[in-house]
Amino acid sequence: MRDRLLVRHFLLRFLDHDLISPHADRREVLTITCAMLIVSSLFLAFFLAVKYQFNLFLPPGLTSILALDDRFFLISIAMIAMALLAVAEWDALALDARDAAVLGPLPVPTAMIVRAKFVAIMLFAAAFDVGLSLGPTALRVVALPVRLPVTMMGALRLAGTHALCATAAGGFGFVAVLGVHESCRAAVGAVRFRRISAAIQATLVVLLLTALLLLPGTYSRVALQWLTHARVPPVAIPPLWFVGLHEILAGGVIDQLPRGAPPARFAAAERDATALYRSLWPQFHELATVAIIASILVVLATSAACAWNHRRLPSDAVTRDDRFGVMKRFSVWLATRVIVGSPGAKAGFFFAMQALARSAPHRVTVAASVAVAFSIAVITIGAFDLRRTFTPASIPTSVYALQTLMMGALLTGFRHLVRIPAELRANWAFQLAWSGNERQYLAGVKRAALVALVAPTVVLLLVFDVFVFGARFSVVHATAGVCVGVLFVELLFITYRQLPFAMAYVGSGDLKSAGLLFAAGALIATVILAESERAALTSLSGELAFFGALVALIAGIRTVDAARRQAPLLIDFDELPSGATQRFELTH
Amino acid sequence: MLEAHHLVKRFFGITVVNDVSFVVRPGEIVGYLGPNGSGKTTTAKMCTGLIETSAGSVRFGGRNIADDLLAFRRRLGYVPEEPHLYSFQSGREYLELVGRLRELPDESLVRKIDGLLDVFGLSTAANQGIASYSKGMKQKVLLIAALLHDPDVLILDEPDAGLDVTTTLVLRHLVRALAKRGKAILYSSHVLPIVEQLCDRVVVLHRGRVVADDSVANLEQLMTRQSLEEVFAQLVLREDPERTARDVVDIVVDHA
Repeated sequence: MRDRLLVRHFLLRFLDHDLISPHADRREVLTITCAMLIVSSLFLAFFLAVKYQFNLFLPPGLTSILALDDRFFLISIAMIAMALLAVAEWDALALDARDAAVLGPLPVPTAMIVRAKFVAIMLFAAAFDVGLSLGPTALRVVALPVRLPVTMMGALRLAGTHALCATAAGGFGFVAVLGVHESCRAAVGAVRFRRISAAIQATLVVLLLTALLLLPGTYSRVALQWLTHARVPPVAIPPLWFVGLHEILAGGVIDQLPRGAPPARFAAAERDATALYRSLWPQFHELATVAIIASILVVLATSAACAWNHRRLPSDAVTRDDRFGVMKRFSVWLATRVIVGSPGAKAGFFFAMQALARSAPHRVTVAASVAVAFSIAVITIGAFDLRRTFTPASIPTSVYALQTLMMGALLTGFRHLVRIPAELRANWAFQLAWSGNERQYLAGVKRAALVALVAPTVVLLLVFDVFVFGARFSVVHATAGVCVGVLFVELLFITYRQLPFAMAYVGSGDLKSAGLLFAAGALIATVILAESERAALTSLSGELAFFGALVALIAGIRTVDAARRQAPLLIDFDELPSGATQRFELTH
Repeated sequence: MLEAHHLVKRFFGITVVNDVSFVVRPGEIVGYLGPNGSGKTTTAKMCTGLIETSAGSVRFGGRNIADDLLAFRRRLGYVPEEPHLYSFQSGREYLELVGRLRELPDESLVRKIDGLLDVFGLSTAANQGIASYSKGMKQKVLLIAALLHDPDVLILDEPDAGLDVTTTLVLRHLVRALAKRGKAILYSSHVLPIVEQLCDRVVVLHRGRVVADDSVANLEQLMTRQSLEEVFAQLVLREDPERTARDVVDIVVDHA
C-alpha cells in the first residue's frame, strides 16, 4: 500500500516541475502530451506506410532494403525522443532534497523510497515508450506492398518485432541518459554534480535535438549509406544496433518470400537488392549482438550508479560558492564598462544573462535554438567541397546565408524565451522596483542577446571562414554578421511592449498563421541579404555601400523604436491570454 | 502621509477586506494586527498597489496612488510576508537587480549593498545562491532590498518572521530610527510584545474589518487591560485558547 502511494507521488511529480509544467496544471500537461504522442506516432507511421501503397508490385528484395530506411528512422525517433524525455525530466531523475525533506522524517524505510522512485521512473518511461511505438506497430502491416504474400503469422511477427525493437531502443535512450546522470553524480559527488548538472543537460539537449533535426535528411538509403559504404562504422551508430536486431528477428519474413517473376522493370534492381540485403546478414548479427550487450551494460552500469548514489537520502546542502570569483568579477567589470552603462540597462543585461544560464526553461530553450543553428550549419557546410579555392563571387549563397540563418534561429529562440518568466512568484520585485524606463532595461536585454548568442556565432564562423575562405573575406563577413545580428535584435523587439523575463507567459495567439509568414519572409530576406553581400564583396565601393545600407537600416529602426517608447511604461503584470475565439473577432 | 480610504477587496465574491480605513503619518509607526486570514496581507498588498482594490482608495501625499503608481513606488519600501526571491540569483545579485531597476547609481548602490550586507551579517553568504538561504537570511535580503533607495513609506508585512533574536532587536531599533527620520511605517506582525513596544498606534483587524484604531496606551486604558495581548484577546478571540488546546490534545491522544 505504502509502495503504491509513493510510486503515485513520484509519478505525479514528473508533471510538476518548471520545465514540463510552468502552469502547474497536470491535466493540461497530460492531455497535451498524450495527444501529441499518439498523433505524432500515428502520423509518422501513416507517412511511412503511404509509399508502399504507391508501390503495390514492389518485390521482396527491394521491400527489404526500403524497409531498412523506415526501421532506422522509427528506431532513431524512438531512441532520441526517449532520451529527450529523460533530459526534460533531468532534475526529477533522482531523489532530491525536497523528497528527502518531505519523506525523510516519516517512518518509511529509505530503501522503500528509493525503490518507489525508480519504479515510478520506469513506469513513466515505459508509458511514453509504448505510446511512441504504438502507431508504427499498429500500422506495420499496412507498411507493406499489397501484393507481397505475407502470412498472418508473418505480419504478427513483423509487428511484434517492431514493437520489441522500437521500445528496446527507446528504453536504451532513456536509460542511457539516466546512466549519464547517475554516473556523473557518482563520479564527482552530489555537491559538484549540482554545479555541472545544468551544463550536461544543456549539452545533451543540443546533441539530441541536432540528431533529431538531421535525421530526416539522413535516413534514406540506409543499406548503402550507413551499412555498406559507411564513413562511420555502423557499430558507432546506436539506432543501427536495433535495426540489426530487428532484421535478425523478423527480416526473414520478407526475405524468404517466394520471388516468382517480378515485373520486368524491377528484375535487375530486385536481384541486386536481394544480394545486397543478404550480404548484410553478418552485419545484422554483429549489430544485434552489440544491441543486446550494450543494453545489458547500460542497465547494469546505471543500476550500479543509482544504487551508489542512493545509499542514503540526499541532503539539502545547496551551495554555490565563489570559486570563479576572479573570472566573474572581471566579466562584470568589463560588461559594466564596455557593454552597459545606465542602471536600467545593467539590470536588464545581468538579469538576462543570469536567467539564460541558470533558469531551467530558459537554458533548455537556448539549447534548443543552438541545436537548430548547429543543424543548419552541418547541412550547409556538408553540402559543398571545402577543398576548392574560393573567391567572394564563387562562394555559394548558402555560405553567405549561413550566418544569418544561425543568428535567426538563435535570436528567434531568444525572442521566445524573454516571454517566459524567470520565476513567476518572484515577479513582485519587478512590479515594485520598476521605474518605467523601458528603453534602458530593454537595451540591456538586447545587449545580452548580442553577447550571449550573436558574438559566439560570429566568432565561431569567423574561425571556420578564415581556414576555408581566407582572412579578408572572413573579417568582412564577420562584420556583416555583427550588423545583421544587431539589425535582427532590433527588429525582433520593435513591437515588444512588455518586461522580459518578468511577465506571466502568454502564448502567441497568431503563431500558426503569422509564424509561417514570418518564416517565409525571413527566408526570402536572408537570400536577398546573402546575394547583396556577395555582390557587394567584389569591390571596395560595394562593401562601403553594403555596410552603409545596413548601418542606415539599424539607425532607422532604432529611431522608430525610440519614438515608440518615449512614455514610461506601466506594465500590466496580470495580463491574461486571449481566448481562442478572439482571434477571429467573434467575441465582439 | 499614507491613507487607506474605505478599502474593500473581494475575491470571487468573498469579501476579504471590508471598509478598512487608517492613516500612517510621517514619523509614525502603525502596528497592523489581526489573526490569520483577517486580511492583513491583502491590505498591505493593496497599499503597495500590487493588487487592485474592489472599492476605496489608497492615497499618498493626498493623491490616489493608482494615478501615478510608478511615482508612489519610487518612494515605497515593502517587505512581503512570503520571501519569494529569484532562487537562481545570489543575494548580492538580487539586491543589485532591485537597486538598478530603481535606477540607483552604481557607486552608491555597491556601497549600500556592501554596508547593509555587512550589518545584517550576510557578507559571507552574499555570493551564494538564494536557494541555499534560510528563511531568516531571505528575510534579511528583503529588508535590505526595501531600504536600498531610502524610501519615505515602509510597509513591513511580518518582517520579523524567521529572524534570529539579535536581528529582531536590530530590526526593532532600525524601525524606530527610520521613523525618527520621518518615514511613515506600517508594521504588520503577530508578535504582540514587539508591536506594543514599537508602535505609536495599532490598527486591529478582525474578519476583514477594523475593530480598533488607537494608541496602545489608550486601548489598554479604554478596555481596562494590562497589556496589548489582553486587548487583542478581548477584541479578536472568540474562543477560549486553553479550551482549544485541550481539544487538540484530546483528538491527538484519541487517534494515537
